Amino acid sequence: MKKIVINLLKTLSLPVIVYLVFLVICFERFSNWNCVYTIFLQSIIPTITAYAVAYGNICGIFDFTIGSRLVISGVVGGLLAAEYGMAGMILGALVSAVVVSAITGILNWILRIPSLVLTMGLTMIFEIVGTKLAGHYGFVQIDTRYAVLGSSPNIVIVFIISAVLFYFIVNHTVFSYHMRAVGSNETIAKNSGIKTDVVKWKSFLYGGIFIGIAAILTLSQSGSVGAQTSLGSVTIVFKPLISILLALVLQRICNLTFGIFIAQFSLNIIFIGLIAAGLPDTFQNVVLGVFLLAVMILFQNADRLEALRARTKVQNKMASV
Amino acid sequence: MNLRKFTACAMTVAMTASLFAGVSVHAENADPEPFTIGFPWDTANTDPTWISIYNNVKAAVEAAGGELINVVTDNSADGLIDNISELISRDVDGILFMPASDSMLPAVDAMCADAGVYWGTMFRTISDEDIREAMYESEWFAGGCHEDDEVCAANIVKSMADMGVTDLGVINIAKGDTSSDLRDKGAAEGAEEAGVNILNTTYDISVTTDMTKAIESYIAAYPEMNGILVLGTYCEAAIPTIEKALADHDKAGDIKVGRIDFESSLGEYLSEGTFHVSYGGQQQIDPLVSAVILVNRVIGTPIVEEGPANIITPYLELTSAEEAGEFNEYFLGDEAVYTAEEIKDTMIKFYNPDIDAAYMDELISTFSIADVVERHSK
Repeated sequence: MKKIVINLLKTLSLPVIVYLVFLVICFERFSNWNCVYTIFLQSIIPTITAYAVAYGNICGIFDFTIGSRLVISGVVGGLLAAEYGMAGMILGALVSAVVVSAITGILNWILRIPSLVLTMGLTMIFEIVGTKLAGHYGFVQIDTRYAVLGSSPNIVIVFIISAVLFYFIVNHTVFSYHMRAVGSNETIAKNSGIKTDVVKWKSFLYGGIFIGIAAILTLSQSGSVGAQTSLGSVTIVFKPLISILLALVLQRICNLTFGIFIAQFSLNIIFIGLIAAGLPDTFQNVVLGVFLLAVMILFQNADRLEALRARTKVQNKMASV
Repeated sequence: MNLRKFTACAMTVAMTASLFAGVSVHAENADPEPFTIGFPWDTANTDPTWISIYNNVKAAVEAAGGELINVVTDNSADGLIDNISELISRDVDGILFMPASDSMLPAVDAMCADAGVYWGTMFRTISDEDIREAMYESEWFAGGCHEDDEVCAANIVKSMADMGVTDLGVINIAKGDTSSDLRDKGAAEGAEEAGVNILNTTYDISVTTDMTKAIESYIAAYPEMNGILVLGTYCEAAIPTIEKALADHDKAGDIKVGRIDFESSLGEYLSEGTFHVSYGGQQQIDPLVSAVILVNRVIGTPIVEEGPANIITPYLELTSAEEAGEFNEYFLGDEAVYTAEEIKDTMIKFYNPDIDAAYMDELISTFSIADVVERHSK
């Protein structure tokens, strides 16, 4: 229990330290509850998108299609919202996300080409599908009546449900262990009797559920979803991907579900902090990159640092003797 | 008898010759030689503005009997140079494009000079003095249109200041883009003149989620912000996304919103009173007139005899829902802002020898939403 509490405190220290840094830099702008709450709300959609990305990541699949699948799902949800209201939006987004994800998974299974190449090609195709569905104006807008899930507290409730679902699938199912085995070494997993192709297909499918949820929240929060072309949808994946990389590093002290959220929350503190500090957004990318590297270096070398500290302690002791 | 035969033959030959001579003269004056214009443009983009740009260029080229050859581009400097190389290999007579930067132009000019292909630009001026001087000396640079981005940005900031804006959050397209840089510069000048504080500028937003995030970040970080200005963006549904973010924070209407470049949803928000001012309309006239400049050069009747023809197209101001509706119907529809027939009569020097730089300036000065409505309403 003590270890859990210590690890929890260690995990929470990441956003707390980052927040304190910006509190010192711009106290007036950062010292209000609204600012923290906005950061929290802004972390929700990227966190759920990161949950979708995480399935492929654990399985060792690099997936460019996440953004384009999210756009298709959002556009279908938006179109069905106009016909069937809230139910149409939710079902349309979820079903289309799962169907498109299942197709992606099947193609990955059948075609047997590197996921990087396959998903790059599919992204271009899905983007065109999205633009065709979006129609003349290239985006789909929903009535504000159907956008209730994008506002607090509904968005928080959807987030908690999503996090619990992700936690359950990733920690308490046989599939999750198979997924890790495939991601660790596919050949050994196959020789152990794991149907690796089925596991990979399922990872697309389960990821699709979270893409659907992220699309519903994007549609509800922004009020519209715009089609993307020329691989523009790929940018949607970048920030969630950074949070996954950080979460994987944090995994030794906290669960992946919580780690992804903490990483995303920390990144958003930096994002808003830099804006509040009046720095241009080009500088924001530099700081985000440095932050990512710093955290990864620190955690990846934690054992070496610990050994160095122990060695220094022993040397000091011997010197005193 | 022989003399009569000889006379008859001579007269027949003379009549036939004069007949052919007549046909020859007529054929020379009827239409220009067939030609092709290469046009790198993202035709996969379904944004109505992007579609209308293509339609306007096509109308200008076809007005003089030419054919428009499109290659899909990402509009980056490297991408455009590849596109131009491809178009040259397809043996086009002229190339029209939207430069991503000044620094790419010498490479383009060298490629076109080697191939003997005229080239023209749209939407962008050449800011770098050395490059501008070199390009203006090139016999292959036909010229093009651009807007006074700097003045426009300064004016829209001053308009917003008149509405009571004192603290402004800004969105713009990627840094390094000529228009983006000029609009930044103009906004800074306008802000200084009107006493407006520019809080921050976020660049290169391409998806709605990032737009929502940027606006919410501004609201969280700058409680004093009372204006948002979109100097430019390639994000679809930019204004609806901004309006939704403002509404979610109970700021819609309280925070004044302005935008350079019109988009299709402005009318709705103008009528609701949550959107306040937009300068634009150049997205249709600029590519059309840029294409006209290039076409005139390619067919051998340049608008100006010496050097490139450079025309500044005006920004139109949109302040009412009615105008926004007319803009959507007449600027973003399938028809160009000047039909091919109108272009042929008023902008192609081959058909209308009166055309020169002063004539074009005069013609463009009459261009407005009302003008297009009057010419094209059925």
